[in-house]
Amino acid sequence: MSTPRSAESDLVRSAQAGDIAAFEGLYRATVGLVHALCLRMAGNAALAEELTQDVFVRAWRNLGTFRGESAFATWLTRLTVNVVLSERRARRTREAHVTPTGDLAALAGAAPAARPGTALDLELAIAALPPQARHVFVLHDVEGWEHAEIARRTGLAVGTCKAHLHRARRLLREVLSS
Amino acid sequence: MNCQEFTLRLDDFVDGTLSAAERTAAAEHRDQCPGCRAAEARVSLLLAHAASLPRAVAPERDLWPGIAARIEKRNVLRGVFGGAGRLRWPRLGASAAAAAALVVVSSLVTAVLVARRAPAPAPSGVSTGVTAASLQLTQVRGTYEAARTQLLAALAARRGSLSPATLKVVEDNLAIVDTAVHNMEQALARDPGNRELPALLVTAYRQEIDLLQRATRIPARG
Ligand SMILES: [Zn+2]
Repeated sequence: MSTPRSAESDLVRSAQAGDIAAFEGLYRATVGLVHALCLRMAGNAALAEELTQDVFVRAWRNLGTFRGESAFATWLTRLTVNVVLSERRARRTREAHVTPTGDLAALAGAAPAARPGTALDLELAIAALPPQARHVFVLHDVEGWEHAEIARRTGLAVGTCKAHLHRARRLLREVLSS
Repeated sequence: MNCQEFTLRLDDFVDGTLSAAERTAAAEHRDQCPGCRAAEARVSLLLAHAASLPRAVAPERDLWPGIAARIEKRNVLRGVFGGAGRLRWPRLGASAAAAAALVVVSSLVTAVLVARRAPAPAPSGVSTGVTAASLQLTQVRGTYEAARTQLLAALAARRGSLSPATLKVVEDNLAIVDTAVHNMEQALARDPGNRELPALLVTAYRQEIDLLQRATRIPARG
């Protein structure tokens, strides 16, 4: 995460030229960001690992489209959201509902032991949210995205995004104050 | 403003997205109402916790080996067919295999062109049996990648038994299909809600597998 911007652009340029070792450098610098986002949006540790791998395979394939207009991490974050959401769309038809207990246990296992209690409680509560409420909450309140951007990426109306956010906040507030 | 109105605006209030007038009215109500004040405090606390969650969480195991393996599989294509420098291509003979490959590719190109004119329906015979709603793209992509890897390996194994002209046709067509797949995946990444692209992408996957299957069955030269 602490890769300086110039070193990062060198790695990007080498990776764009086909240098896998340079791409591994980018992976090492950014995997935590990608994995955290996958973990929170998917609410499932095993799926988050799969999605993280998918993101980097896609990143390698699409690296030519990165023009350095934003930070590499920003580009990668957008790609991550697209990968998570398209996987979700594919999965939605074969899964009626998430199973919170298994997901929660997996997430608890993935959380660093030193994580303070409130943060861990919050992570677990986020994982247990209904999928769309979870996506909107993570993007808006953890990642700091605007509703308009979330609406564009998810294909939801802005009003629907706001309703999901409201629901997520209400559910999470109850968890934190209980 | 009453409690119900305040509750309806609470999210926008804490996000700072209310109009100035509504913001003033909401703040006045909050200052007079302990219940709504407590509600605002709870949301603010939640947001503070959310904003302070770690931005990076390392996966429990190293995911790089799996990623590297998948990346290298895709790069096999270039390895199998090398570059123009390693093989000298004689004049092209129009073999039956070449004709078959070109038919496959031209229907794919049609699909890609149709995809660019988004509102047009997919041409008949291109995406038969595939509807955007029924697609499980991730699953299909996994199957495609596995089949592709297998076929590329099979093709690599019999590379020496194919004429350079045939190899050249196969190489060119694979490059076209690969670019088409790549472009459609990028288009889908930019526009994940597009209803036509998943079906076309699956069609492209099938075309590529079909092309590879044909290529592995091309008779040896002699
Ligand atoms: Zn009130």
